[in-house]
Amino acid sequence: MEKFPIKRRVLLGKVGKSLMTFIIAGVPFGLARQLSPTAFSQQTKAEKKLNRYDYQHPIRPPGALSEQRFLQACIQCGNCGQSCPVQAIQFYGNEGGKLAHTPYIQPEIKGCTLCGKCPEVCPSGALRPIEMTNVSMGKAKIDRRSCYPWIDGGICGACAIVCPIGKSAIDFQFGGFYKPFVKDKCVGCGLCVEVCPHPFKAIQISPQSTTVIS
Amino acid sequence: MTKIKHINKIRYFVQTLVVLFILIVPILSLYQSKVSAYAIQWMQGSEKVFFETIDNVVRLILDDPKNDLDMVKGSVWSAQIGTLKISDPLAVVGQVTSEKHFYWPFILTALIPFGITLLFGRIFCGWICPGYLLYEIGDIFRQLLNRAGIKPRNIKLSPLTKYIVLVLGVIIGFVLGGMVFPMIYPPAIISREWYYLVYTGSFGSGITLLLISLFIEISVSRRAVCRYLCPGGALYSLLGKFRVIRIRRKPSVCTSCIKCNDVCGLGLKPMQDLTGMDCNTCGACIAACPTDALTIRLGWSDSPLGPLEPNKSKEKRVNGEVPY
Repeated sequence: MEKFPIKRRVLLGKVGKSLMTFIIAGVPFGLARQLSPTAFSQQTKAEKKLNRYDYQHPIRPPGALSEQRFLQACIQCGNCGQSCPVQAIQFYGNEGGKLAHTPYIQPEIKGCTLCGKCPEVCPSGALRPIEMTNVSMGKAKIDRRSCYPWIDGGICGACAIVCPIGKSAIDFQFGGFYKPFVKDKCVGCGLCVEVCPHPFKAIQISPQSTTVIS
Repeated sequence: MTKIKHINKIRYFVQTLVVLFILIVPILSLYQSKVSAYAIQWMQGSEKVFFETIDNVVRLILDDPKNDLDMVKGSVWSAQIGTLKISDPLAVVGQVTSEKHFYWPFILTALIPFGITLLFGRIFCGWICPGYLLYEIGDIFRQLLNRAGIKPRNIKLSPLTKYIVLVLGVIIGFVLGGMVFPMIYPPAIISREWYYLVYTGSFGSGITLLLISLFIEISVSRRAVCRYLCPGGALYSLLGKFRVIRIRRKPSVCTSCIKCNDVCGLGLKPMQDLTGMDCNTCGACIAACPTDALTIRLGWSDSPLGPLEPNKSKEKRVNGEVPY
């Protein structure tokens, strides 16, 4: 009976030590979570029922997998950003939450030229080499209430001239003077958004992840 | 094998080369994008001087930097040199468990580090990892503090903690679908933050973790991240359990001065032949040994070279008591 409390103390000490080990092992993840607050957050019940996350909808570089698989596959190495010759690829910081340190393209600042260097340099298969015409980053949408030729028949046509795909992606309306409209072959590179002279961009890209359910 | 004493200096050289690689590649990439845009001639002031200097140096080696510079990209987390892609095995483990899908072109990129780790053990940590170099620099401050009379603490935890970190990271990646290792793995953080600094002019969030770990290294616990928290170190330790190249001791020469145990960054005991899985073959103990009793030799287990001296019985050594 005299030895029993000491044994219990030893046992408690061992349990406490292993607990401490587990707690300390969680510290790096906790810190990372603190630094990018929603970096690895749980699915809510409604999302689980719908079998999806409530993803933000960024425009990914060309050749990207679907948004969910892209997040799983990207190893956040940043090689695509290094390889981009026009510096179109940017990265989410801690404000991106779940998407932290993954690449995206903001066509208002710089559109993608579809040069195909980032899929080649990507090691993880999150971006895969793809032909220029098969890229699906999104679809361009023209706001006809603010596009100059559509409002007052002004002369612009910048989006149609800059398009790397050509007339199968964006073309002028038949008989309409420089009134552009988007066709199905649009890949969503965003060069048209970049050159649009309207201060609030009469043409926008709606990302692929919003339009296709995979 | 006789002049192995200075392996530590070769290691510093290799580490410096790796750090230079990490520092220079993003700058070269930025320069390449400027060349592609014909932007250098329109720059002004110091920016122009900077990029023109790079331009002059690069054009000595490459004729067409716009295309030729494609061959060097990346960092220690994942690099592309020529057509060869090399990735960290930890990246492969994290990606495969989070995607639940085998993408073989990516898995094969980790083949070279994987093979080297099987042969040499945790050699990446000591020879390539920029984080280890950073913490070694922190160790200098630690010694300065010691000399100034402020004794930094050295809290010791269980070395099993890092395996739990690895398993936790794999579980989080598996359940939530996404990599978490690059957010907590020092070499990945360092290369990414430097890329952010070069491209956007400011650090990202990872620099906070790095500074916290450096503070811990200097004042709380020596090489705490490498010993107890690094998931990459855990993976390499597991892979290197049956490594072939080991630090081994000649008991006939050894004077039991315990200098090797003191100098070891990972808290191992080469003097008692207890290097175990964690040894990263950094060579600090070999450089510190006054009688050249330690060498790097082939060996399947941590056994001394030659017979033990009679006054050091094996039971005592296993208990960790040093017979003087």
